[in-house]
Amino acid sequence: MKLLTTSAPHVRTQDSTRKIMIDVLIALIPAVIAATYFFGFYALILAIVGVVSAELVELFIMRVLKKDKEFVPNGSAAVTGLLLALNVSVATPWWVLLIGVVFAIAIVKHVFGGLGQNTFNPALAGRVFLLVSFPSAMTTWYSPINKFFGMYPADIQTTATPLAVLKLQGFEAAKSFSYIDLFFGNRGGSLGETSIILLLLGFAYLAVRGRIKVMVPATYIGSVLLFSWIFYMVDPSKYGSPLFHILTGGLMLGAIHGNRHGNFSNDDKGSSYLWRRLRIINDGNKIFRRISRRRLPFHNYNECPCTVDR
Amino acid sequence: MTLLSFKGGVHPPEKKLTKNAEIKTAPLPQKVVVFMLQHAGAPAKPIVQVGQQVKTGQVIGEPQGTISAYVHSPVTGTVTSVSKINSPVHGMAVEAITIERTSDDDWELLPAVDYERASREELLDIVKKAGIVGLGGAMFPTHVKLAPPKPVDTLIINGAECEPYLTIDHRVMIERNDEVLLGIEITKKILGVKSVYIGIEYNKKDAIDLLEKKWAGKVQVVPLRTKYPQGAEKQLIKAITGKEVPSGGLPSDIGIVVQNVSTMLAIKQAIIDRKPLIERGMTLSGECVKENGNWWVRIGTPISWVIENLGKGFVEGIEEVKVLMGGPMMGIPVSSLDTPLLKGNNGITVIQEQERISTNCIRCSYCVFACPMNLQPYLLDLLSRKKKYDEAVAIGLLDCIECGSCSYSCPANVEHVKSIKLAKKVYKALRGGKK
Repeated sequence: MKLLTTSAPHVRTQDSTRKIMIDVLIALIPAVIAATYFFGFYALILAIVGVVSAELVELFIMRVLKKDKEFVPNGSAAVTGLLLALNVSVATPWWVLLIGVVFAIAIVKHVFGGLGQNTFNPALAGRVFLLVSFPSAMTTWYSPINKFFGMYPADIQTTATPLAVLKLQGFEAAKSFSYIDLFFGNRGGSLGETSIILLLLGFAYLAVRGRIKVMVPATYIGSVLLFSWIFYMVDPSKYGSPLFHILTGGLMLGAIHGNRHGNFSNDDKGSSYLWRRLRIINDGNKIFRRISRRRLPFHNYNECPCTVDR
Repeated sequence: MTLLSFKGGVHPPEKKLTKNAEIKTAPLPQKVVVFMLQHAGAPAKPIVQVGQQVKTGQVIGEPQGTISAYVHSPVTGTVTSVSKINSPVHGMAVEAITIERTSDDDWELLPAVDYERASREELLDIVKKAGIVGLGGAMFPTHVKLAPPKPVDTLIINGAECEPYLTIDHRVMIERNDEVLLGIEITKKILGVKSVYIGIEYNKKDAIDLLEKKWAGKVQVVPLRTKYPQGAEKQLIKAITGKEVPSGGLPSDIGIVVQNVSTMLAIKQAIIDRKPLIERGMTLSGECVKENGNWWVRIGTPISWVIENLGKGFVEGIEEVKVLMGGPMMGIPVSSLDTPLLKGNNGITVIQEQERISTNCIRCSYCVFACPMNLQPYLLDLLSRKKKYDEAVAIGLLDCIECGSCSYSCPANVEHVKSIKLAKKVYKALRGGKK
């Protein structure tokens, strides 16, 4: 009989990093379905390219670093790959996405020490990288085709996102987008950001599973409501209504999956909890900076890569 | 009904396998090994020689200094050796006296005292002479705790028993509550307090109901939420009174003294029955031992004897086991089955190792929300491993109660408690024990 003397506690939770990552992937499935419906079959291909290539790149890096013996595939790379895929336009060629994934995993994640050690969020850094490298592909938006597994016709017209319309033509023009359409996601934009209702569905799943603290996205969205309301009160013709701001851009995707510093919640969500009590204050503070920057007239927020919400 | 509790904590599977098993008296072992350090503070000094005959209850170790305790012989027999043996609890070799039993108990009792007439000092003296220490596991000398530096007004009895598997306090509350109540009366007299609470986790509903009926008007029974570490001193105080013990302070700073149920029983046995602390109740439980049960055993009984005679051996076909002194959350694994039971052993838990591979922290914040002391375990772990002790102390390293809630809840199996414990030791050594 061998006596083991490993350290206390001697019982551990059945939870694991892999289970967390799988929950995040499940929470993103509705957004993938929305992307496939609004932007066609190619959106699904991009999502699959993102997930598969991310895992393969991670496996390769682990082999190069000779860490593959202790490496436990936990799905964190798949989350990064999928989030990056959901953050690009349907106009993006698959190989462009692939380059973004390689950059995100190899440089942003593993150069800094791998899972949990990255200074930046890999998916968002990958997005910035693509935006700088392929500006045209990354900022061309198509209007939805509203058909499962549909293909875009050859003479497709590009469209402006609601926030671009708001910025260039003012809120009166942006009122052409109905709130219902915005809520369901019938608008141009990144693959995964348009359908608010399905993102909320994923959020509900995460909340029920205890993977996300409801307070964090709530304060995030709450402060957007507050500050956009202040600006809306100042000049309703120029600035969008609070509800308009909640429903447009990548705000919902960012609030749920990218809480702070653009860190995707379940990749790096701990950075938001320095102290339990300060959590909300911290969040509010960051958001205030973000909003105030975003609302400045000279700031081209439509293409700002620093925030999840363009 | 709203159950009182504290912030944070975890809820591991309760596994109270022995909660309906009556406490049985174990037969006397042939050989006992009695450590001279079975308490917080300075070790006791052995006062017997090899070959000397000792009686049950005879003093064999005398305290050195204020924070120390008497040690008594648990059996009648002959001293066969006085030597240093490795103690898993203290992580170092400690002087121990081995006694071979030669006959049945021949008692040497404590001085008689009439507790209703005796003065506070007389009672305290008996408690000291009986070698009573905190039986919840911390083993802090009780005579020191019952003479707090500041006036206290509240006595809290700890019946939470939040560790999985352990049921001895539960059984004591059910079977021996009259004696516990007597112990509480004596303690009340020593402390001069008016209000007494007993905190019991709600998974011991039978004990709550019984004590509410029997102790009505004497002790306020407080049902608590079943949550680990509900039985930790500071968490118990927070749950029952809503007050927080200041960082680095003692419960007496806010006028409270906390005592374990079994300690109350020991005080009663010392003052009324004149018996020093040589026997205690403990739970033998776990999946890897054949028979689980609650037992009265003599202190100093080797664990191998306990497992063979009370547990009837290990379950067959198991290669590796963990034999823990205490429960699975804070229990100390023994490296040798010859290790004897200590005064603070409320249980022996024999379980299998759960697979655990430590991976990178993903900042999921589960540990932050599990920490009952409102600390940031992931940061303490990081700073401890990087040897940045001063920074770790600045964010509350010394406030950590080592309950293990962080490591329990960690999905990446990070060993926070291990690195924090080590950092605390190193820091105290570097600073020479000064804060």
